[in-house]
Amino acid sequence: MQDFALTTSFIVVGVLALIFLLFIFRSSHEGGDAPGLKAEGTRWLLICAMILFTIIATYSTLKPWPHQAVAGVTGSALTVKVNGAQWYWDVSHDTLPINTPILFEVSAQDVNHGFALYDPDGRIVTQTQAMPGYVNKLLYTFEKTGTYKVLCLEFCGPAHHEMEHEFTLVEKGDFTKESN
Amino acid sequence: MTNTKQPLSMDLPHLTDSGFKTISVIMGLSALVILLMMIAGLTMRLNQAQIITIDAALFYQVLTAHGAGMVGVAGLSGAGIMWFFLSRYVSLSVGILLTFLSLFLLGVVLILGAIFVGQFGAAWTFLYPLPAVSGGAWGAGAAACFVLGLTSIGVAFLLLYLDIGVAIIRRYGSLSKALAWPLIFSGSQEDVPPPTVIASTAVTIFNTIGIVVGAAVLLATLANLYMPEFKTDPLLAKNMIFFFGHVFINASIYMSVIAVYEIIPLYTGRPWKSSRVFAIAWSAILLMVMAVYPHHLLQDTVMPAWALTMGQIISYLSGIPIIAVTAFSLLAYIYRSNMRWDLASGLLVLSIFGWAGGSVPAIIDGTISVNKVMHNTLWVPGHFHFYLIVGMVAMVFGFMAWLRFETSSKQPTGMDKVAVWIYAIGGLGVVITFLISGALSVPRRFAVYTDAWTSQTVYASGFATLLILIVTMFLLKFLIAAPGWRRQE
Ligand code: HEM
Ligand SMILES: [Cu+2]
Repeated sequence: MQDFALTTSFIVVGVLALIFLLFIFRSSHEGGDAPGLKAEGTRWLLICAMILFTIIATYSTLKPWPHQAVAGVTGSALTVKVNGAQWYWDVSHDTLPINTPILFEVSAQDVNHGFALYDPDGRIVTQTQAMPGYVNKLLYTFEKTGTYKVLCLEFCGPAHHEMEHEFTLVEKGDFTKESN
Repeated sequence: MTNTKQPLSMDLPHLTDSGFKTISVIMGLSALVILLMMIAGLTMRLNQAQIITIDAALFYQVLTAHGAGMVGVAGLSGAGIMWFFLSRYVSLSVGILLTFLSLFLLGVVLILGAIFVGQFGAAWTFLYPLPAVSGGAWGAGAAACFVLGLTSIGVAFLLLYLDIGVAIIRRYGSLSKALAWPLIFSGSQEDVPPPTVIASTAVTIFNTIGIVVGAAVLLATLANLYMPEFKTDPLLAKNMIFFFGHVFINASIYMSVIAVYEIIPLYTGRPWKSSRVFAIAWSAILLMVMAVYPHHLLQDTVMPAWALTMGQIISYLSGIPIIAVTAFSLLAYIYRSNMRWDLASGLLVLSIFGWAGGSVPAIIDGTISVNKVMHNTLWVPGHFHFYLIVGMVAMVFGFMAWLRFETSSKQPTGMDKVAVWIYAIGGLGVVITFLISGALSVPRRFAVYTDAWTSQTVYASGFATLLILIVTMFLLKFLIAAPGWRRQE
């Protein structure tokens, strides 16, 4: 997802830069008239294209609703309670099974925090906000075993960057053995 | 006006000498703060690069100062640009402008005191209830000072907008006429307001609303500092803060773009027209800039789904006025215009690229499923530094360069053209290194980095240094030229 966002941004910005450069080089030619009707036609085409993009992108990214837990797709998920406080995470489980939907119920005790899950390679896989007085629900199914880190992604004071927690992800079978 | 030797001059019938001087002071001060805060930004990057080490608490104070300073001064310089050009069409009060500046400076003093004396470091977004719950890092007094400082700046803006709103209504009859609604709805060509008036009217309306909401949450924060039993709903406060913050920082760009509308035509010989598309775009901006703010809360799953959906859709649509209206018009106007390229025209054209370009990573991050893995990473500073450095600040220095050519007999030099490229490279470098780091999941607002996160920081520091050098040159050129200035009658 991150790579897709980066590549797409670079391509679109790059094309935009080329168009600007082209027009900047053409600007020094003499004898053009002020932009006329033809330019206006192109403009409307561009506007329609951008509206069309909005419709397609909205439909394809919001259906199904990305916050699945809120949409009620929790099924037989394992519930993990998370409470953020200055500057630690209070978490109901430390070991979790892979290939099992996990429902994180995330809240905060004092100020806003951000609950972000980093995979063993150091990439964010999902996140939600942790807010006093509210429970944000986050559904995620882990695929890799190993150590996932929780970092706080909402600035919460001078030790914000130290607010870490670790989940150990194990095979489903190992998890049931352990909890029995 | 008999200033005939300069092809770039414009008629400024209402602008008095004192108005002109006040604007020059506002722009000079803004540029100075931008420079100082860029140095603060470089300091943060060097710390993240582990080249220098500053204490975490101090890092967050610098972060707070950089954020508040840059956002404040973006508003200040944007207001300066808007006031300067709007004074061509309506008569504005220099007394109010001076009061605005004084209240603004009072706010700056309070904020600096809060941060560097009181050690306040809750970031410029003062997310409730962090100002009151610092874990011992700062006291209620420091937080109150910060809140009052922001409030003072807010009051300054409300006063200025009141004067502007009244002046516009006096001249055009009503705000809807000044937004060119007769042109939009019935095609009436009668007394169509120029682009500057349409833009100023829209900004005046939405930024007034934004600041009033901001003031309300500031007062709630202040009350909570001294009466902890007075509580505000954290989700409501978050909504209000991001509404205010989003509207205010965007207003600074929408005010500054007036420099492009006014100055580029002097170079191309083609007036920037208040066409129907232009008028519709500005009425759309007026609504969208306010309705889009939920894209800051996409990871608050307790938010109603309709609000998040609206945030995503309007993020996408917000690209239309920037790309299909402003950038498109600019390119059409400069095409085969035989225009002159100098520091002013170069920076102003760059600024529209920066604004449009910055909207691309912003729009991508406005998608809920992308936001899930990008929110509060350095991707976010990546996109906003894009339209602030390469966009907004380029507008400010473009305007200041034009002011210099317009008022002195100095001709631009060949160095000026090179300077635009250096500025663009420095700015894009700072931005791209942020974006790459964001894609690598490096969190924003972290004082201490793991080794894996430092990959971009050294390049970032290099680009930042380049930018600082060139901005120093812009400022010096402005200051050297300034004392000899006066409006020629
Ligand atoms: C040399 C140029 C600049 C550099 C090196 C720089 C650097 C930085 C850095 C390192 C951060 C903190 C990133 C993090 O979250 O870890 C930051 C945040 C920020 N910068 Fe800049 N910056 C520059 C120019 C600007 C300009 C021109 C503006 C606005 C006009 C600006 C506005 C902001 C804002 C609003 C924040 C967010 C503060 C916060 O997270 O609370 N910056 N900048
Ligand atoms: Cu935190």
